[in-house]
Amino acid sequence: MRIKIHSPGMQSLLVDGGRRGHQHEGFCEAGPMDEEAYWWGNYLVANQAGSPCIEVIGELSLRCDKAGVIAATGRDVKLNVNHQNAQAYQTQWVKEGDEITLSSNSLGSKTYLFIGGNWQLPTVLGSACTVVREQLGGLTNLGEGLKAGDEINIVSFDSPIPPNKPRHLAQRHWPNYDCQTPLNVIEGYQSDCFSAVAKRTFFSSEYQITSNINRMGYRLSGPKVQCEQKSMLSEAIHIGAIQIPSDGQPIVMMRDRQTLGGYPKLGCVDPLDVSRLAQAVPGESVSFTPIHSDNARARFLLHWQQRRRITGEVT
Amino acid sequence: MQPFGAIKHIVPVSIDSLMLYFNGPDMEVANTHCYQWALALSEARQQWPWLRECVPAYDSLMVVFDAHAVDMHQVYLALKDMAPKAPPRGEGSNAKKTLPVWYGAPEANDLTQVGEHTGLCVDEIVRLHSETTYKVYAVGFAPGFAYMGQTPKALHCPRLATPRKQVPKGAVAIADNQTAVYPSSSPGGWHLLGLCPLSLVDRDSHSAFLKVGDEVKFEAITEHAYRNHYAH
Repeated sequence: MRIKIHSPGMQSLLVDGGRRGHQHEGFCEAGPMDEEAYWWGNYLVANQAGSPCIEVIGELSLRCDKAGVIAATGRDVKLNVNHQNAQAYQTQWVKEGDEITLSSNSLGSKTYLFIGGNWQLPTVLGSACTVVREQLGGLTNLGEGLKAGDEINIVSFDSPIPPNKPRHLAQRHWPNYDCQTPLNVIEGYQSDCFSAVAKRTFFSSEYQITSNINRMGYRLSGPKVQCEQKSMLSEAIHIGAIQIPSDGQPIVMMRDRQTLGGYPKLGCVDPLDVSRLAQAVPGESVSFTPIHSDNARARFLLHWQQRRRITGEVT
Repeated sequence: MQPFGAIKHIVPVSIDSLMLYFNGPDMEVANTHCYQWALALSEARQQWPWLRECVPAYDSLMVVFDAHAVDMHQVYLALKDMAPKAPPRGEGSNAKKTLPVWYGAPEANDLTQVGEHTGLCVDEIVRLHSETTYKVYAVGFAPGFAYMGQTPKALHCPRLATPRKQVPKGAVAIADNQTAVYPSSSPGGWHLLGLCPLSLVDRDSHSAFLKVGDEVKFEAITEHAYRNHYAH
């Protein structure tokens, strides 16, 4: 399979499972913003977990130069093959010359395109992830997004998916993108430096997603959270960490976050809820609720158990 | 969680991560403990397949593990079990390096704000910043970004209340008792003093020019010298 990009939309980035094990050298974790949609996509085209795909904001259009297997996932995802609507969250077979477009019905949300096979891409420290800020990864290995005219080679393998039995994820199992349900927060880091009043403000208020959101972090706006600790030494920042700068407006740190930072942190958004936050768009509101780390881990293990049940790995 | 040995404080971070903070009469000692532990953990990787990341900073070490395999209580016990075996001494680099700076370059000039925080004039800020020898305490934030300390007390200034969306490549910056150079353009919350023309990350090997333990001095250069440096 080979594809040729007609238009990358607002932004189309090559991402994979992330650049693991190099944060101590300053390389960010990278990886998909919406891990839930990403995980299912690789299953639907029978690629190994952690394989590359395209993360899209806006409308991506491309042409297939050969036949192959594709799938689309993400929030309010809309997949068209030759201007005909095709089912997302399901294996799709495409032919040579097929025109594909991928977009989301909620402006600014991410959608993902998967293609079965081995993607021929340069890697840096074991990952093809594009990190614009670090100027590495992607097709050119300069951290650039995909451009019109770019071509990507994907070496097909004998697909384990029988031709008449597409892999399919029932709609009830699609990722939940509801912003009404509060995001779970594991309290940690400097949480002891926040007063009971500050925590009550944070956990009982609604915070708006501002337009200042990107793969590094999501700036929220809402009632000010005060922290008694004003200055601290820079330290490692984990996925979902909730930073409170002195203006009191939370910033939730995402995949391309810097590895170290010096703003006090209240804790981390539950890894299972990071995907939901990643798909929220400016103007939507979110709220937070504390969860004990043991409960959060139990929820994580159950979630994975459910993934394996759906894929038939366990019964 | 009960601290032990050189660790003064252990806090949860997430379902798959713990933060260790180290003891010491000063930052120097705490930083040494931190790097000894980081080294010991990187050697323990063989027996501990669940160990994902180990990210040291000044006096702290974040341990990230595979939440499928272990929980934070098991990790705590594994760390505690390892503690009595004195970890090998982490020998950082201690090379002496000089970084040229065009102080007050228009793209990176917060000298007025720094003056307001510290009460110093521009010449004093430049003199204090460039006459001090700094040590690299941590590498991170972005590839090649070295956290150096400690700036003289008179130069201490807080971070920006709202971080900037874009700091130019090569910007020399200060925050609290730290100083650094931004290796590539990125968001940042530090006050800027000028621009450094050196490339801080090797394009091919991705290795950082500044390493933990290095002794670093800044040297004031003119705009002309800066532009010459950049052209070469």
